[in-house]
Amino acid sequence: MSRGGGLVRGALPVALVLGLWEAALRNGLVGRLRLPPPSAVLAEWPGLLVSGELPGHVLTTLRAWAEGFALAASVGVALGLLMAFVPAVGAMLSLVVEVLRPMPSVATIPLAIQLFGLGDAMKVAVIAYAALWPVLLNSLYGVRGVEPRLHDVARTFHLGWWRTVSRILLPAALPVIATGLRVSSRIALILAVTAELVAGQRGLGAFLAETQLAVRTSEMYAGILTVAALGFGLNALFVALERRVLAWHRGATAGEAA
Amino acid sequence: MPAGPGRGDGPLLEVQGLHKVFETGERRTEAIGSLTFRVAEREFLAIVGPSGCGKTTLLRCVAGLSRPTSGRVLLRGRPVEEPPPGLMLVFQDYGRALCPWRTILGNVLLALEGGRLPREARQARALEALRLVGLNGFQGHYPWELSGGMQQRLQIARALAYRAEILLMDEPFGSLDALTRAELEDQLLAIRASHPGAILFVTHDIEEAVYLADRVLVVSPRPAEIVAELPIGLPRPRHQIRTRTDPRFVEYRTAILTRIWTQSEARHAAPLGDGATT
Repeated sequence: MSRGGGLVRGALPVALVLGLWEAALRNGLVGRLRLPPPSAVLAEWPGLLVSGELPGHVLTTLRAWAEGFALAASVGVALGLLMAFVPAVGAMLSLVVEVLRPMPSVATIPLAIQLFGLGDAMKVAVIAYAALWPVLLNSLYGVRGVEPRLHDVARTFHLGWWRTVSRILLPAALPVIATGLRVSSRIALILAVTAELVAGQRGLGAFLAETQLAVRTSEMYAGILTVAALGFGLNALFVALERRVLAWHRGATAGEAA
Repeated sequence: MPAGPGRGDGPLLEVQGLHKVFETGERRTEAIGSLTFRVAEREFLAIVGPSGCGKTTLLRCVAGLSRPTSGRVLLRGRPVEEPPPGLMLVFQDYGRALCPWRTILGNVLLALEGGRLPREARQARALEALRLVGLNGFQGHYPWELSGGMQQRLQIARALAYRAEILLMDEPFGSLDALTRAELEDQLLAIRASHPGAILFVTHDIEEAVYLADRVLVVSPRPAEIVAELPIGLPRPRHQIRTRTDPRFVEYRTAILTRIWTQSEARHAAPLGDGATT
C-alpha cells in the first residue's frame, strides 16, 4: 500500500505534540528551564553532534549495547535450543528460568556494581543478563511450537535426529527466534542507558545524568532525542534484516491472513 | 475377489484387531473399536465413514506415527511400530505438512533427504514427480504461492518421489472445491495406472470412494468398526461422467448409503428403546 501516506499519518500526532509543546512554552505555561521549547532542543542538537560530544557518548553506549547483546544472543540461543532439543536440560533449567525471568533486570545493577565495579564490565553484564530472557525463551518456545504435523513429516521421511533439527525444526522456529532477538536488542539498549544513568562515567545515560544535574536542560532533551533515535534505528535495522532473511515467513503469513 | 491385484505370498498390509483408546485424565475416548482388514499389492482400498469416526487415527496407526492400544499392523508381514520405509502418508491439512521456507522443488526433495540417493538422482526423481502431478514449471515457487489444490498435488508429488509401495491418504481432497477435486481424483488414477503401489484412501465422501477404489470398506461412527465391504466392479479407466452415471455406480452408492443409514438409525434409536431398526 502507499507507504508515503502512512508516513504522513504517522507524523501527524508527532507534529501535534511538538506544536502543543511549543505553544505551552510561548504562553508561559511551563518554565523554560524545566522544559525548553522544541525549537531550542532541535537547535542544540547539531552543535552537540558536530562538537563530537554526543557522538562519543553514542559510541560508548553502542559498544556496551553490542557487547551485551552479542553475549545475550549467543548464550540465549544456545541455551534455549539446548533446552528445547535435550528434554533433560529443559526440565533441569525451566525452574531456574521461571524464577529468574520475572525479576526486573534493573535490580541487578547494584549487584553488578558490587561484582564488577563501575566500569564497562558492569554495564555489559547487566545488559547481557537482561537481554538474555527474550531470546532464550523465544528459542525454546520457537522450537517447541513447531507445527506437530512437521514432526510427523520428518518421521515418515526418516530424516533422523540431526536432519530433523537442522532442516525442519530450526528453519521453522527461526521467525520466533528472530522476534526474540529483536526484543532482546531493545532491552539491551534500555539497560545500557539505565546502567549509565545510575553509574556511568561515559555514554548517553551518563550524559543525561550530567546535563540534568547541571541544568543544561535543552542539551538533556537533545540527549533524550538521541536515545530515541538510536532505539528507532536499531529496531528498524532488525526489522529490515528479518524482512530479508525471512521473506518466506512474511509471504506465508500474509497468505494466512488473506 | 476384488478386481485386479492381490497375488504373491501374502497381503501387502494387514491390520489385525486394531483397537485404539485415547485417555486424557478422567476421559476415555474409544476411537477405534476393532478393525481387521488387508490391503493387497497394487490395490486401491477406500475406507469410507462419517467425520470423526477415527479414520485419521487408523491411518496414524498404520503409518507407525501412533501406537494402537491393542491389535497390530503388519507391512509385508513385519509389525509396524515406527514409520516403516516404503510407506508414505498424504495429510489432509496440506498447509501444515509443507515447509513454507522451502521451494516447491525443495519440498519434494525433503522426502528423499533421509535416503542415500546421490544428489543428481534425487533431483531427477523430484522433477519427475512434479511433472507427474502437473507442477513442472513451479519448482522455484513457494508453497504459499500455490492454490490449495496445487499444494495438495505437491504433497502427492512428494510421496511419488519417495516411491512409496503403499500410499496412505487422509481425506486428501476433502477441503477442495468440486472441480479441483474431480481433477485431482483423475490425476491420482492416471498416476496409479503407470506407478505401482497400493493406496489406502480414507474419505467421508461415498461417491469419491466408489469412483476411485477397487474395494470399499464402510466404517461405523466412533468407535470405528467395519460394517460393510464392497468390491467395486466398475471398469477402468474411470470417467467422471460415464462412471458416475453407470447404473452399477448408483447401486454401489445406494448400498453403502443404506448401510451407513441403518447403522446410524440403529444407534439413534437404541437409547429410545423403540427398536425401530430396519
